[in-house]
Amino acid sequence: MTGHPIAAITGLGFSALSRKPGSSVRRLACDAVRDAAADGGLPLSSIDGLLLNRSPIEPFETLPLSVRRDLGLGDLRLLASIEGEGSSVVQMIQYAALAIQAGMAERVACVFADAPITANVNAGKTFAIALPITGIEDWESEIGFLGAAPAFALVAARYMALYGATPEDFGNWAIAERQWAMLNPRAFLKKPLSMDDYLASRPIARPLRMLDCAYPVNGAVAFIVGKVEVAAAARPPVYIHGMGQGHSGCPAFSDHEPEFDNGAAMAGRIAYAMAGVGPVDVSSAQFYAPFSCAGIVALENYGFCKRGEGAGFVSAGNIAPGGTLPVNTGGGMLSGFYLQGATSICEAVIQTRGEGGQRQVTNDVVLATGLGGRQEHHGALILSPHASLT
Amino acid sequence: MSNPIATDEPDGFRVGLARGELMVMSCSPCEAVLDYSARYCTVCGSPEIRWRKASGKAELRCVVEMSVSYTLELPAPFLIASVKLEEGPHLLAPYIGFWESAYGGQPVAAQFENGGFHFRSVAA
Ligand SMILES: [Zn+2]
Repeated sequence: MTGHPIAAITGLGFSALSRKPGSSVRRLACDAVRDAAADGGLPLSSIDGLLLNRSPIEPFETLPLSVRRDLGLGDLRLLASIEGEGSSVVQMIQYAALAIQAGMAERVACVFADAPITANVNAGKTFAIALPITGIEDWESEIGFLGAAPAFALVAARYMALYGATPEDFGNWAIAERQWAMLNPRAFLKKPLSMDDYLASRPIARPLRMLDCAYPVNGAVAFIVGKVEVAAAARPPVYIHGMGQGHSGCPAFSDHEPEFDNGAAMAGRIAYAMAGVGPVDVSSAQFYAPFSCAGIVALENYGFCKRGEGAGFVSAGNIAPGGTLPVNTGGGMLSGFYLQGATSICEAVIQTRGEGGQRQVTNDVVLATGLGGRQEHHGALILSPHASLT
Repeated sequence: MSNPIATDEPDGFRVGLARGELMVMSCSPCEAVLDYSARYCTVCGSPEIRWRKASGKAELRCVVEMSVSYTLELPAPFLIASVKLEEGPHLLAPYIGFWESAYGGQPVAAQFENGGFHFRSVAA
């Protein structure tokens, strides 16, 4: 099972991250790619592949393939825009790793960029588009079920109905992420958060409160994926040992529970098997959790607790600083920043490198995930600073 | 309709609602009731899908309160339920009642009142 790593993440770069409108998505992407190339210690011209990911609700033109010209890149051996909703950043890294392993390319830049905050529109409105859930065309917008928040409120409400979770359980997720954020210089929300503060936060889509929701920013994050042999000689290496995806085929029918049986367990199983590890080996988990309930469900699907036990696991303090399973150690999407698939993966790279500063935890095996749509698209990566996991 | 159902009535769900009937999709050859996202029969593979009247009886799965207004036509707060129809499909629909007293497993029924369609809890 455990063999050679597939590839390595050899560069990580950021644009400025901001709550104010400013640079275009295209410019943010270029800033991040340049920063990632410099971080990898090699000139921009050594990049021979470029994968792009924009927000699924933005048009293609916001981040077109011609970004390669903005960057002044020469001939490329790989160039594509990847669209797998919130699982796209994981997918980009997976496809880059496969291309490198197969010899198609040697150094691929993968970049996500988004600017949901504009002069006239706040981020809540930007994301208030209807997600298809029922299968009846346009039905969700017709009944006013607009935005990601109600789609995830459905997950939280169903979880409460089946497993008796309380508002405090969701609050404990938000508080744990805030505690981590307070240790991360790049995080946006760092004021101490009490349960009273959480319970007093206004309802967005009950049972979801404002403080259950992601905190969007404008910005970009880029990753350079390169060959294993090169990684060993460069920065603290970040080896990719496992990769998996899962796209739910669970029907909204009868006793099926599409809110929970969503493809994440499949993504995890495949990634764990490829790396030759299991949940018990994971040092920290970096989940794509745009709402607190999604994180609780992810804990279950990735094998850290049984179905229905995720809420109790969180409320027992396991995911917070000092807990048994550090989760979303950068503050996650609720208190760190929300840049879709980039949030969890950049923190996974920072932890794997041992560059987490005050928030650094053990890092032998780091799980990083992506989640798309209303939770029906998933991607997982198993990262490690060790070339061998045996 | 970006992904029409291969039936004589692609929008049969809304056509049914307009005459006060809740419809489900079923396969013409094998008569299996399908979930609303099916475009082929998930049992026999047939593309021949037709609309059939549902009983309107359902089990409540959970309720979400839309707490923020996004459009003038639908001022918040209002409730949306996820229900499991007696025939099998899950459906999201307006719900009349109270968020606090809605619980999973409660029997509910489709009702057509004042030109609107919604679910309400009913005696078991
Ligand atoms: Zn059939």
